[in-house]
Amino acid sequence: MAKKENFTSVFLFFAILALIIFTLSKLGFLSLPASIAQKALSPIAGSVYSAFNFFSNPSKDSTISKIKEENRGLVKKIVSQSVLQKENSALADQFATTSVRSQTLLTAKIVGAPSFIPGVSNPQSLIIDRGTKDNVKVGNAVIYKDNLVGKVTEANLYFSKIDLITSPSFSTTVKILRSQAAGVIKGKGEKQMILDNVLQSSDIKVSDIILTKGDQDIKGIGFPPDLTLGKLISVAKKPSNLFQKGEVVSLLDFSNLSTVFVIRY
Amino acid sequence: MWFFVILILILALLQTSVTTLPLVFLLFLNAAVVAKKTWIFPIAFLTGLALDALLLNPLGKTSLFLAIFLFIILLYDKKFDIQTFPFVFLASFIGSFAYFIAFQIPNVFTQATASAAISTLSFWILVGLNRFNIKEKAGFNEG
Repeated sequence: MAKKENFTSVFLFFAILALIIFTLSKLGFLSLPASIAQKALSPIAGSVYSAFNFFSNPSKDSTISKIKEENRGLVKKIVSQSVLQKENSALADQFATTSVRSQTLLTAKIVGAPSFIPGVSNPQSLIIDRGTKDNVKVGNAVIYKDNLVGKVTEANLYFSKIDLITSPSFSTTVKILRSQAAGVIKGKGEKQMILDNVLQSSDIKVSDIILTKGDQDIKGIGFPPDLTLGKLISVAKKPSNLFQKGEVVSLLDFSNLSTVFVIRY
Repeated sequence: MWFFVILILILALLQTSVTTLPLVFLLFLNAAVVAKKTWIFPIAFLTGLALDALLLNPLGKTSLFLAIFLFIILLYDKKFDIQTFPFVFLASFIGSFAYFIAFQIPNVFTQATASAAISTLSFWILVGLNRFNIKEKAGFNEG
């Protein structure tokens, strides 16, 4: 009986202490100590991640990796050409205007990317070594070579957490490059996303490139337009349904990324 | 004790940078089952804070989870024998399941099953090494 009471009193002490710390943390009073603790511990975590990334991907120079890189480059050229054509026609018409906001890309190194089976499963989130002291804010878009990686969901002084586009909690408005049809992308987990809310009358087909539509607010938080999300790999079109659906796969291999870029304003 | 602390550090680093499996939780579960000591609580509390800092979770969340679950494990010890493989497997599965739900990690069922398997394997290794004199109780019939 005495042993049980001993456990109980110790448990109650630490449980109450943890609850107090949790409450203070939620209210924002402990952001500085948390940042300092993470700053102290993260170099080791970052080294572990880098080492694991290096050893689990020994064939980075293989033919397949090169082809994937070339493919990403070609998609980028297609998107750039399409955007230029649209801008040209807007200028020629003199009725449409394009607003260009100055952007600052901040390089960030990935220090953590937990996944179920490292090197095999896709991570759902990334931890980067940039935080609020670098002017990173919750809601900032994160990209890699014009491909959308995700958005910042948590940020302390020195580090930030990014929810990937494949995360089940991610969704945004999108458009099809070829037909400009509009829709909504939602993360499905692993490497895929679901394209939904596309009108039955819209023209979409397999291999269509999916781009962000652009949903930035007045402060610049959100996704700029024309960032690549992925490629459509299947289309489900049933006449009885109001909308068409499809599956989208990202052109990026998130488990291989070591550096990303945060779009700041 | 030093070996235990080093193991905690290694598993915490793996959990924060490489995998979503709750390796630290599984380690404390095994420690609670074989050792049944109160020193588990302060170490779990501090480790939880470190995990929360590295994963950008609200501080105290993991510590609270660990404290509650370890307490439940030790409460069970008063009524049932916990140094058995079925108990370790079930406790790991249920605890991991709750962990994934609480921290919004996907693939809950698959990862909980993998966690339970890892925990049972590590318990088997601990028992096999006979560091805690529980071989007979765990079902290792010798002679």
